Amino acid sequence: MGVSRIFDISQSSLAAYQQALNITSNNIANASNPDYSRQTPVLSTAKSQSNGTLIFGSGVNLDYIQRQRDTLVDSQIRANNQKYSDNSKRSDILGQIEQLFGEPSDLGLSNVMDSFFNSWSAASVSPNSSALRMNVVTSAQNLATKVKDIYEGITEAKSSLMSDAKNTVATINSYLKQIQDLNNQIIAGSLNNQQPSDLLDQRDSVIDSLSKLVNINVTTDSSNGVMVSIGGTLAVDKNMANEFQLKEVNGNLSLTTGTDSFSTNVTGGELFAIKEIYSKTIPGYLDQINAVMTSLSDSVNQLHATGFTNATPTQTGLNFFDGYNEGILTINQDIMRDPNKIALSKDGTSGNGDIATKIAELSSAKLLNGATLADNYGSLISEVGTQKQFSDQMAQANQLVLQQLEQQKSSVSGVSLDEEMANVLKFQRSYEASAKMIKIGDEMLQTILSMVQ
Amino acid sequence: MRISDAMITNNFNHALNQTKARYDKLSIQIATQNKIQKPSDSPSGTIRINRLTSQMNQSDSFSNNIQNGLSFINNSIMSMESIQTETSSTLTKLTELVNATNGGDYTSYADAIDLSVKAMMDAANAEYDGNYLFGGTDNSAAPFGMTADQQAVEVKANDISGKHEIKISANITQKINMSGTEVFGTIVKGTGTLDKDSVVGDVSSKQTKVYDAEGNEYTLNLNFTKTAANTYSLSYDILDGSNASIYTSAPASQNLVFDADTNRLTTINGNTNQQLNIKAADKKIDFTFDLSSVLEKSGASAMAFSANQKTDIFNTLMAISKNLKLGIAPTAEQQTAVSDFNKHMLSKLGEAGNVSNQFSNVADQNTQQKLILQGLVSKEKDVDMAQAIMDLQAEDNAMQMSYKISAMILPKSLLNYL
Repeated sequence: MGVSRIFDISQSSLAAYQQALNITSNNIANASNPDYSRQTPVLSTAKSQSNGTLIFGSGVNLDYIQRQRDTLVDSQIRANNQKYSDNSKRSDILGQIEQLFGEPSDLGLSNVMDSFFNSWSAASVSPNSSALRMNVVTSAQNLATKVKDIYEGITEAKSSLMSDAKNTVATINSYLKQIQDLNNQIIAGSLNNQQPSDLLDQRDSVIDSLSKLVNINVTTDSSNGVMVSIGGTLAVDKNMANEFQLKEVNGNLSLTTGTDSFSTNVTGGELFAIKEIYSKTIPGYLDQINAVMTSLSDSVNQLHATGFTNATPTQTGLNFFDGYNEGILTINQDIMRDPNKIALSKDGTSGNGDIATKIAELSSAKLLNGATLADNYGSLISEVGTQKQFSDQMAQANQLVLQQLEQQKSSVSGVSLDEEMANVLKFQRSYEASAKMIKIGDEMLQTILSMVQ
Repeated sequence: MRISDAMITNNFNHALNQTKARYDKLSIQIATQNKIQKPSDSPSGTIRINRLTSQMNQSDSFSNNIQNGLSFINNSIMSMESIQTETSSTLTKLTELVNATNGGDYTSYADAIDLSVKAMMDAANAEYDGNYLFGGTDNSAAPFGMTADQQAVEVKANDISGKHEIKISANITQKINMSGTEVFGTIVKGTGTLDKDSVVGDVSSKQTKVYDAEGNEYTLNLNFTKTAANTYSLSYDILDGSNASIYTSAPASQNLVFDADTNRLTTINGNTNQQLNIKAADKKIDFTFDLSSVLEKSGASAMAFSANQKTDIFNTLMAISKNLKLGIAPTAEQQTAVSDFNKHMLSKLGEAGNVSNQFSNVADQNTQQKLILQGLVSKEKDVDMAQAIMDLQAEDNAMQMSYKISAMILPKSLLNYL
């Protein structure tokens, strides 16, 4: 074995540590990239050579680059992403809806309803007062405007959810396409036992983003390709990417594939929150508002029709409201034009305000579901508040779990600059030592050559 | 556990974000002085605030009603006091007239009584806030006025018996007016029983005396005919001194329905008002027939009728004045009538005063209740400023400490020491 062997061994060492420094350099460059998985060089002893009775080492090899990733934590993060995104999205949407009610404040429907009933009470004291009659009309107009504002606000929020859902489905389809493309690139790049780490990071990042939108299940095959299903429906694999569509049937949103008429079972992610609030929560709120206002309109009309107006000649059988339908509470136009047509009197005399008193008493009457209208409306507000509060709390709890999982992921995959700098020093020193060995080898060779001269 | 740089940064961001969220919430609470900004801050608190606010609004509404009702009843009291003063003064004059030495001065007494009648009429037709104080609920015309021949006073409005009731608390509805009927009107009140066991077709006949505005006597004939279980048809007629009906056609009969359990009269012609107004304008007869105390019981029918006065005070005084002008001294019966009216007025003043007192008491209760409600709303809604500022200071300290520690740790790595 000659001196040149030193050159061979040192050369392999120089190459290995240069590669190791490259990897470390790449780690440092991506230290702030949240999608990046730390890479580590895996070095091994080069195959030794036998020389007679002795076996000499042949230096060092860089076998492969290890991508540091914990797949168990990845799957847990995705599962929690679905829950967190669902609750967080619910919290956002319900937060917008609860603002529309304006409770608790003087501007809320509760207060406007009080003013409406109290205006009747005031009118009962001086039934022939034009000012107090006008006050009844004005308070009824305020009530109608407030109900319309709330109803329209919620309806607009529902419309926004529809476009939000469409955008979400478009994003899901885009992610699925990206996953399929990345699948193909990764499979091609994984030949010869190579690991295309950056492509894998990209694909994991897209899958993580997808898990925030909808419930998914991810399985990896031996060729490094992934198969993703949404609610049991195959969404993407190495061969195809499904295109999902949003459908609305009887007010319910559902997710279907282009070829399949069956709806996918969406149970998590932002799309689930949107779907649930669009299909169930908002219609429930609107139904409750409709029930309260229909009951109010009918009850007032029922009493009003038995009363007598202050007009000449006096009239009876008039309704105060033309009716209520889908957020629109319409006041009798004759009454709007002439408040004397409000029927406050029980017997036709202008000083009798018994009907006004009875209408004012409706505020404390159990008109709907065995409770007062205010209590029914209060139940709705309580429901909105409780659902928002529950979503907030769940989102916070999910965020805590997610935070811990992200920490676990970061513990495995995250870059530590201290660690990388230590590696830099370690690899740099090894590189310098190898270079020194070459120099020593050179000096040895020079010595031998000088002997010849 | 291996600690990456991202872990330190994420931990810092997460902790700082939590502190900022609490800081923000406290800042808003201090700025608005409200603990609850939206239902999700406290769903049950929001409901309690709404309920309490609603009760306060209702309490305000009742307070306004009480103030208006109090003004109305106080104006009624002022008018009634004025009428009572005139009645009392007239009563003094009538006492003086008994003295024979005043016999030659009847005309001046008559003039004084005429002036009193005018003053009393004026007070009886007084208005407040567009309503006649003694017009019941009928504001179509002033309650009282002279007949076309100027010889008597008659009720000009259609009905002066209306009760004006308002809500002054959740459970109290209070009458705020003293109706013309109860203050000035002649009320013939029936008491006793009708036979519950009588068969359909049985007739129970009764009669009582009634008077016209000038004091002439008439007979009111009443026939209660059983038409069904607990149901009677009441027909009536008024006969003059020669037993002739004053009506050209018989007045419509009234359908009386009694409650089988309580034995009380429930409706007259389907109406819960248990009084009938019997009026014959051409004969200046106008009185209220009150059947509210008539019961239906087993046993022979037995009823009695009594009137609070023969005729109203205005016509009584006008009759006295008319006689005085003719040189005729007032009769003892007339003096008694004026004296009775005076007592009646004092009684009604007491009744009105009680209503006024009740208004004041309920107003005080409302004020007290409102204070309690305000306290409850405040407890539910208002921020404990001292506590909130201390909490804010604590969060501020935590935030500053977090910034400082982060500023010390985050930028550093092995690089700084190489």
